Amino acid sequence: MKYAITHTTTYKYSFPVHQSYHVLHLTPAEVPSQCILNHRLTITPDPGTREDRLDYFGNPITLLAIEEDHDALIVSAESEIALMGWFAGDVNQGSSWESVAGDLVRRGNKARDVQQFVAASRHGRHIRMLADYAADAFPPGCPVLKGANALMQRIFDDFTFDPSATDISTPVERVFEARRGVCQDFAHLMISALRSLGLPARYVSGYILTHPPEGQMKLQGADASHAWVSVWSPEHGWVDFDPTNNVIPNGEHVTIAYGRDYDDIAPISGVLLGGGAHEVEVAVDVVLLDAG
Amino acid sequence: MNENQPIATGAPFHGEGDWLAHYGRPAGFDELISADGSVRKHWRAIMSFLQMAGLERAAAMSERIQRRIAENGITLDSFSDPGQVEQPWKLDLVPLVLDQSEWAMIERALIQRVRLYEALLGDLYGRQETIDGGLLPGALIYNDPSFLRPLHGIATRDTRLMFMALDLARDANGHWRILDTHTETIAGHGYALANRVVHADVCGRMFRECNALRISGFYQSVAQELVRRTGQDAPSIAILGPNPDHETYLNHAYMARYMGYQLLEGSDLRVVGGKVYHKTLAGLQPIDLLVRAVEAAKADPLELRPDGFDGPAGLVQAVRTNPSLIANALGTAIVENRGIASYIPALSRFFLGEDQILGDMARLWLGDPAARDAVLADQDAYLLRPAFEATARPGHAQPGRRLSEMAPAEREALVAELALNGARWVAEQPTQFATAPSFDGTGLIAKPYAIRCFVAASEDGYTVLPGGLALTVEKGAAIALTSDAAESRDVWIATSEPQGPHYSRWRISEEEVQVQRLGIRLPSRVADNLYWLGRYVERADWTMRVMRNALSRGDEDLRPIRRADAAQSAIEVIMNKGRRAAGGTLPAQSPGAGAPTLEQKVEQLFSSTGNPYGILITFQNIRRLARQSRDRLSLDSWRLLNALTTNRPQTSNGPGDPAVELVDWLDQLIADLAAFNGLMHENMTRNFGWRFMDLGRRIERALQMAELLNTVLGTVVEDAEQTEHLAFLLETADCFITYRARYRFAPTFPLVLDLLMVDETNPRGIAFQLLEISNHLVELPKASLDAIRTPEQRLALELLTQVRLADMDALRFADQNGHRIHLTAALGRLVSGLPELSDIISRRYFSLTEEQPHRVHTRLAH
Repeated sequence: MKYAITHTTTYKYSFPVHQSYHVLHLTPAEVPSQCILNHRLTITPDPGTREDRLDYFGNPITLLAIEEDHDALIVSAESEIALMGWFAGDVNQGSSWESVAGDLVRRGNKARDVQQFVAASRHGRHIRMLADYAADAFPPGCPVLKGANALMQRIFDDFTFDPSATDISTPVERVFEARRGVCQDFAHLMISALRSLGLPARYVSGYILTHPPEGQMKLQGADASHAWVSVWSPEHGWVDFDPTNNVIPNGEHVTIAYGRDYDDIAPISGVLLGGGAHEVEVAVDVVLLDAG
Repeated sequence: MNENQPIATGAPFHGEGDWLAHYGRPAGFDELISADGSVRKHWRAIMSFLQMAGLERAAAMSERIQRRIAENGITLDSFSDPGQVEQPWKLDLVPLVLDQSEWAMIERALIQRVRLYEALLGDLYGRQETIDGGLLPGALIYNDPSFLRPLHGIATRDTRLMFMALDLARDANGHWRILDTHTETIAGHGYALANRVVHADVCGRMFRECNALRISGFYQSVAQELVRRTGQDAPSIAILGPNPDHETYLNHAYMARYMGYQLLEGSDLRVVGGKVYHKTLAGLQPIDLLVRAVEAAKADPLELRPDGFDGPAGLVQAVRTNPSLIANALGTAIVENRGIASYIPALSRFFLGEDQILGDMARLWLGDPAARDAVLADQDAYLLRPAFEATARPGHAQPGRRLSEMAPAEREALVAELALNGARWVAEQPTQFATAPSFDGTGLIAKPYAIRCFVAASEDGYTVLPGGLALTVEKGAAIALTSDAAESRDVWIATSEPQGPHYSRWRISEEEVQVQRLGIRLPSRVADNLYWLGRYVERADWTMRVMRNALSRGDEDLRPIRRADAAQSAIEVIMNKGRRAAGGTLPAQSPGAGAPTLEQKVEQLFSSTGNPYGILITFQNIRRLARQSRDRLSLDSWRLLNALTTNRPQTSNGPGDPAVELVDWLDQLIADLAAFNGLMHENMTRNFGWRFMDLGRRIERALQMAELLNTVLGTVVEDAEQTEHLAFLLETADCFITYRARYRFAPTFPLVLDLLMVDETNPRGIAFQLLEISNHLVELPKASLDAIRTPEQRLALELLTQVRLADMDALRFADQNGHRIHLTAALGRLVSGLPELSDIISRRYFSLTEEQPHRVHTRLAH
């Protein structure tokens, strides 16, 4: 599977911005299931300072500072990615969820890679009612991935996709009560529920190939960035689950970065001096180049 | 006298009986009295001093200490709402005296501990072997919000910990234990310094007789080390502090003044090209090192907490460029986590190959299920506390709570919380604290205490402050430096030999000296504050003069009642301004029958909480600005402003005339403000800070005068009445004597107007203010050096020229309706032009401070 992805974000400001700083997570990470064939990140106006490096979790990160007055910012990421494999195991096999949860208080070699995704983060906290909500999916002795799969199904059935119900700061408790939200809300909800049981879960940001309704042309720029969840098991390592689409990714999900939650790996976040009100426009195109 | 000679408490020992009559025999370890009932050797110098002084003098000294503390505005609370009562800070007359040899052990222990934490920080922000190796549970670190992932992997040149404070206590058996660790900010130093300074001021002899160690050398070493870290000869070092409403602001302001560093806020700084700059009147100036007094998680809205604006955006990136930029480094608070205590012995052997000299208070981390079970099984034995609390305010640690003392519902909720978030909790076994003497006015009594000790990195390792901050702790339940009452004691390390004389930390070699006069590096924010301080002080002075003049009627036969019209109008001017500024929310007239009397209006102007031009609000503004400019004002001027209060003293002898009492009070306040102005005039160097304050004063005075003249003289009245109005103006402007000295006849319109508006030699007249304003504007950093004037210079010149060109005949002219239209036009231009001038100055010099950063995000829409 080979994809060409363009992701363009345009900010327009009502007054000139005197100085802006941005952190970008737009360069896809080298994860085992994918290979980055080509990548280019273009920024207009040209930033006075730009640094590309890896963040704490190993994702590519770009820091920008633009020191001159500007009334627009355009960030364009173009990537060509080959997906080389996805989860093909049996979720119904493997260690019980209790053994994974109980095993993590103290653990040896490279324990930190797993342990840090059990700990609470701003959008992935330990919450009693979410532990209770997840409990049905994790009966005693249930293999950890089987439970995660059941939880994903449950969220998919119980929750309605509704971009108007939440915003970027809506806490996961409110999402839970409203039973509505968007992909990142569902991901945060599932992560919180898993961590509340003591299970390691991480947030994945990336793209998904969308299919136009039968008989229609795919609209340009109509794709979007996407977010889903990854759960750890001793046998399979990190396995992705997409609660928005109720699917274990199988060749249509391209990963940009993973972290504890959205805050760690927001595609673009920034701090501005000046600028007044701003408008933002995001256009994403995911094109399947080669289905092989 | 030898160590073992027993001294029974009842038996006289130079009259010691008086002092120890109430002391009793503490059950556990006591600092003063040893187990055999004798006074410990290192306390004898203090005891002799107290006995020589006698109870009465001691009580007087104790009161003087408390008065000094109040005068210097030292409180436990920071300056929250100026209307609120601040919690006083108390300093005991009797210090906590520790023996030098015991102190040597404590010093070694503190240095050993800071080395251990430094190594642990290096690991957590590096390879994390402690976690992979199972020495520390990951959940302990990863659940703590003070572990800052963006700081991971940054190579350091210097130690991450420049400063560390440890809270120590002796248990009842006399063994020292570590209660808490403070590695985030410099909280506590300011209080320790203030205590030492105040105590030495009041009874320096007691200190000398005790041969106690001095602390100035410690701060000298700190200053040297900070300079060394910058790698520069004359670096620019500042303290990055929180805003003045923060609970630890006072501490940092005191430290800044003692060390001679600027106290900056996040909004004063900007990161450009990976370097930190300071926004000053002269533009951006580079900063070489920041002493951090803000929570690290809030120090960079770009890479750390998105809602944290206590530091400039991009600060983390600046640290990547220069890892020694900030002391303490960002992220050091992680070792404050109380849960680490249980793992300290193993960590010490791992990193140092040593056992710790001092252990921690017995403590369980409840992220460990076994520890959780133990606590649930014995709900009476443990006190539960959060593992991370992030308060360094002395005495402010939260007391622990037993599960057994909670109501069932609360207990159930906490047990559930422990199962879910045990990693955020610790359990501790309560300990009986050792006691130390405290002076209660009638003698010594024993009180449980804990101390905060301070360590700092130095050129060749670490150095320990030979002293500290002792606080009385609550008996029994306490396991931390918890003290709501803030009863503090200075800590003295007694030696057997007299200490050398004090050397100021200002000794520097001559080649380092560089003359700096103008203060061009004045932060824009400080210039802004001083400008408004000048305006409010003048506004308060003017308003009170108007009020006093309106109320004065002691010599009614000399001041016919008609003058009340002018007073009435003058008061109305101020009240109307208040109404406009408050957006019309003030009632035009006070409710109740009939129009308020002049006295009622004055009273309202004095005490209204809703009128921004009233005395109450103006004083609040003065106090707020004085606090924010605290490090710029001399102690004397700060004391004067701090003492300004609208609380009228209660007169003792019966009911007097309230108006007369108010006049007396106004006299007092006007004199206080005059004293402040005098201090500013005589003591403040003519730098930019002074210029901005004086600009504020001049603009306000000219504006008030123009408004008053316009109101009182805008319309023609009959001659006799006009004479009274003119007299009122002269008195309000404090120019009556000048007028009488010049002219031997009753006030007449042209002469009064000349004196108050046109005369450039009258320091209370408008022309004088405008001339001074123009002179200041030429000297400001952005003043134009060539013939083309800056906008503010042009406007000031226009206003001054208009006054200079005033034609008295035209000003006198009244139309058929009796309106002096030319006078009103001329004064009207001043009334609109002066606020305009104020705006231009603000935009030009203070605007950098108004421009606050804000955050943007994208949200996923799929």
